[in-house]
Amino acid sequence: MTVFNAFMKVVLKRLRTSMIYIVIFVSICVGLALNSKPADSFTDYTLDISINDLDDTPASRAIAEYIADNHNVVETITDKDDILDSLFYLKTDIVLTINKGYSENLAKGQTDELFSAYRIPDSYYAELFDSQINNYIGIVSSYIAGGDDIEKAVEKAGETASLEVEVTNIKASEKSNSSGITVFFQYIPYILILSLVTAICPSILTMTSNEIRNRTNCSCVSSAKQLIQLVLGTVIVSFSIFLILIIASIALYKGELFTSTGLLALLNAFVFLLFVIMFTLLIAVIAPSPRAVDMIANIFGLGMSFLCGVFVPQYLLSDAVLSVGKFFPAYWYVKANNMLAGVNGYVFTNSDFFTAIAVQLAFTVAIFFITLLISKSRRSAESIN
Amino acid sequence: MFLHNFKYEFLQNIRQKEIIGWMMIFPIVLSTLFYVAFGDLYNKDIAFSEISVAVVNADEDQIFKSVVSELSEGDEALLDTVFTDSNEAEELLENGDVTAVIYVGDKLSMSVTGDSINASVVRSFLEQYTTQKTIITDVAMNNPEKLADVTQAFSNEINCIYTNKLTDRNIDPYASYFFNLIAMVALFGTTSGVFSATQNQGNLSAIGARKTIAPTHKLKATFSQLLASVCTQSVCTVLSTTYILFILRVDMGDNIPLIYLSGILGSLAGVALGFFIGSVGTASENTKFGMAFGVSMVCCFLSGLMIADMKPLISTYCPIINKLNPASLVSDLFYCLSLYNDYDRYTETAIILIVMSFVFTIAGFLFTRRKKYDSI
Repeated sequence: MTVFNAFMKVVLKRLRTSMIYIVIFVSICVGLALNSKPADSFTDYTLDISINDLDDTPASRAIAEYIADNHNVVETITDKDDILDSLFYLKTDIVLTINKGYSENLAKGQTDELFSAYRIPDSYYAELFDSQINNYIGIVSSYIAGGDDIEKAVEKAGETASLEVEVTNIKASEKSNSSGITVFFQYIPYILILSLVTAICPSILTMTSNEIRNRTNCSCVSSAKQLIQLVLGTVIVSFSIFLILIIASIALYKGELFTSTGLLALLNAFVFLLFVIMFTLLIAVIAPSPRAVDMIANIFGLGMSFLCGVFVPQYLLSDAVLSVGKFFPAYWYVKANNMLAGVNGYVFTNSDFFTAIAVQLAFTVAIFFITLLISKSRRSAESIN
Repeated sequence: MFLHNFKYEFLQNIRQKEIIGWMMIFPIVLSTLFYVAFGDLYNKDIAFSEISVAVVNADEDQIFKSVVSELSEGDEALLDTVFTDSNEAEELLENGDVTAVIYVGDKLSMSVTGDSINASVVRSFLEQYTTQKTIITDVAMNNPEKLADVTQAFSNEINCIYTNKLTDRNIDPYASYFFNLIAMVALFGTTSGVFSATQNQGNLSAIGARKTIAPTHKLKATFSQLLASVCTQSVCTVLSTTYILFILRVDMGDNIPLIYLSGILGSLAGVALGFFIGSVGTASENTKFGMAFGVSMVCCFLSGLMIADMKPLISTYCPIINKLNPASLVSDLFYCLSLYNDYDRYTETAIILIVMSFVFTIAGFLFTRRKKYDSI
């Protein structure tokens, strides 16, 4: 097992970089786990709103309270640079100022420019917020028109404006539930590609470099045994990295992995792991040097993740992008994961789920044969030379 | 001597065709993928367009039907409505052709396929209608003499929010992915930096051993090599910026020279950071390459290359990281040029990057100078 031992020594040196990626990934998942919510009911979209109350009257405080009941009120921002930052990075959706004289003007029935706001113009955020605020102001105005004073109108508006319309989410099925574990598995394609390729590819390239290969070929270890030991090393390292991720998921989400959703998500991730192992071997065959490996890994890792909906939800991607995405296994992985999570309009069915798994396996087999072909043609070329 | 060294270092850099090739292919492929993936995202996710809904049993409430019809007309329509039966409506919903199905009856209700801001807008409209109907019914029953005033209050057009303008430009949050991509290309200069460092250390490369015994001043030799690396890296960054700017036509502002300068400053920071990493410790060249790549990827991750929310998240909980992360600073330069009307913040960020590059270079140099080797 000399080749295997040497390979493992080289991999252990490269593993530091991979561990950085894994630690960051797990840290992010901790944050995501804390913010996950079930998708089996309808939840209203909440905006992040900064409120600066210049009027500071009971009426202005009442509308601030109404906004806080429906949305997430963040810290007050007044500096223009900070406002631009928070709007651009979607940290805040609306920066609202309740103008001085709000209460007085509203009492007189004057509703123009009671507020001023910074927001992305003509956006969904603006539309939703305007609709709710106009509704509230309309109700207060109607009560004032009906003879109530401002205090009474505001009090009644607070009660009336909270009338809710019943909403049914028809895509909530028994199997589908957006448990945190499906959020964890959502990002696994990228982290698997990055950590496996950066750890294994340079190690294989080192072991197959001309000097080392020629020296090993002089030994009594046959080519077949060398290959088997390299493949064994690759599989053990890949499974170990995968195991670290699975242990992290168990630590983060407790028993969720052992539910039917968790086990199916695990199966999906395992099948994708097989693809990544094959993909890693392919990169090791085509990469010109260890330095180029990281870049190739990122082109494929990032490109596939963005095209297939790992980072950006699939429903936001155009049909053309998704059509291209179908030619990558990550698309089918994300689709299967979305089915389990019951998000993005997907609903779980056995046939659709296992079709997605089968397509990933088909990609794995295809990559295996492509790797064999390229590897063989290169060896032939080298032996001719 | 400096120019002589610079010339040959530059030639040595550009002869690493496989690295240069990938460095050029990488941003072009990835930015094209970004463009394809995000091209329509602003219009789909942020810019408001009419929301498609199906209305079932609309004839049960003629007023509601007329309100919905009115809101579905004109250039600034809120809804795109289909009046239909429940079977067809549910089929439209299942196929994703409509955002919601509205059921008209004693009470309004709706069905959706999941949470979305579109569904919330529709729900808000239904709640608005329900509330107004409740109030008008209540007034008609208890206070009929005020009915006209109340109805009038609801009929008045309400424009209670004045929208302030922050910038003349389009605030497209998805542009940040392109800014971060250029930052990433610039930070790939870390590999050139590591190369420069190892090529000057006798214990890490054969050429380093030869250089160490040469009479050329270490500072001159190092700076000529670093300058050559910065130039090579800048060429890659400028090319990718040109592709993003002129082929993909991503809006990065009008000041083209400063856009290119930002990329060059990023390359400078990347090379300096790599030089520092390459100079510290005695790890092998390949380990240092791996570490440099890992550091640059972590920097890019923290500046929001993979998940755009990272940068605002960090600015909330630990803003100093954004001020020290070279990837964040480079993407900030592009952000300032694309949205700000003045150059104050741009200048401040550029100065931080230059100072950072200077500190990394000097620190790296201090680590490598006056080394003695008993045996190599």
